[in-house]
Amino acid sequence: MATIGKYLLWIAAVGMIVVGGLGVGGVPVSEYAGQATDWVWAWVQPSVSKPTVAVIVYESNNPAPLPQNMVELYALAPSLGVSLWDKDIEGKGKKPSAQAKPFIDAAGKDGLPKLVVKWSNGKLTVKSCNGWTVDDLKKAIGKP
Amino acid sequence: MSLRIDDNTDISGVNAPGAFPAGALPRQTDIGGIACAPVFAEHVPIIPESEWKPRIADMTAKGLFIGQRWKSDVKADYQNGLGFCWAKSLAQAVMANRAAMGQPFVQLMGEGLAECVNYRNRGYYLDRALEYAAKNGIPTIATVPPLKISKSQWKPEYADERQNFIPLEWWDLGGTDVWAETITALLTGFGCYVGYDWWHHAVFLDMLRVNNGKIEVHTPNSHGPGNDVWLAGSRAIPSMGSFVLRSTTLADRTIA
Repeated sequence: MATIGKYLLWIAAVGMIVVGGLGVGGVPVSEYAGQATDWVWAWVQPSVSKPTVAVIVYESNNPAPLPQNMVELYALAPSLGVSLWDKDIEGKGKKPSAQAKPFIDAAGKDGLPKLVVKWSNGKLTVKSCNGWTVDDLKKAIGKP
Repeated sequence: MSLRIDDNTDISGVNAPGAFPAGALPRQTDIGGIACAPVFAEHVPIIPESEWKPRIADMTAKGLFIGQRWKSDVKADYQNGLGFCWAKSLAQAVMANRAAMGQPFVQLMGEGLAECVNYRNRGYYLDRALEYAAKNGIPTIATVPPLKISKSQWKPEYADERQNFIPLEWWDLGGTDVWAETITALLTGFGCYVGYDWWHHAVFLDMLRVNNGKIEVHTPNSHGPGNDVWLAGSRAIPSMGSFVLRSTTLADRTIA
């Protein structure tokens, strides 16, 4: 019985490494600089994935009065590494920016502002951040 | 040490002939007459005056004014005898906006707008300068050296490079009450590109404070180190246009 248990544990461990190494639902090895045990842990616990790019997509011509918490959110976002892009932002020569397009597309045009985050596991998440405080933003990007 | 100018200040010194050539000329368009700059008052409710001073205190304490989040390189921005305040302050507006967007600092050079004045040392109109920059962009110090306003003194890459730094969307202030609109813009974290006819000068406004119960407005100015100015009383009220830059193109690359 004990021998069967050891085999099962061994199979489970190898399976975890193979699946993690393929990046299925986890962090691709090529994108993770830590120890092997770290990326296995990252796979089993996706919350340790970190933001690689974080952007608040907003409408700078928003006619609604800006409450003070939103002024603070927009003003301090860059100090947390979060960019602030108008939804109509363009790139060189006023063409749609290749850099910005995936984020602008993900945010859409309605219900702005939204926080769009590209995580180290390759996933893109979108959250409405209307009415947020700076603490809400910190929590959303995993800053202490 | 900042300078301070109010209604009691003898401005003969700051306006002394030859000290700084007249750089800002009266605007050529009506308010709202620039395609990329809709009328501020038609889009943004003015913050009630009763909220101004508490908001100034709160923003100052938290470092929220654009002037607290971005600092001008006063040496690179020094116009040093050129009548290029209209261009230097416009470049400051774009640099500050980039900081507000979370973009890395890049020194932009107002000298790169010299085509507006046929590459000569002359003043110009804020509204026309804005239109030119919104079409062509502003180059960096990598291609346009300080105080060089002849195209032959620039690296040929300037024309390509400047397209990375195009001020896209503005507001045009003054639709109802230019002072209240300027304060509202500053209290919402923006800066203002303005002109003063008493000073024949264009500046970028980036901060507010309350001094002896009165609201004063700050400009990093373009008159060199130690010459940033707090403006008070009627001297603080823009009289040749007030414009707010809301977004700038993303720089996909810059020349190292």
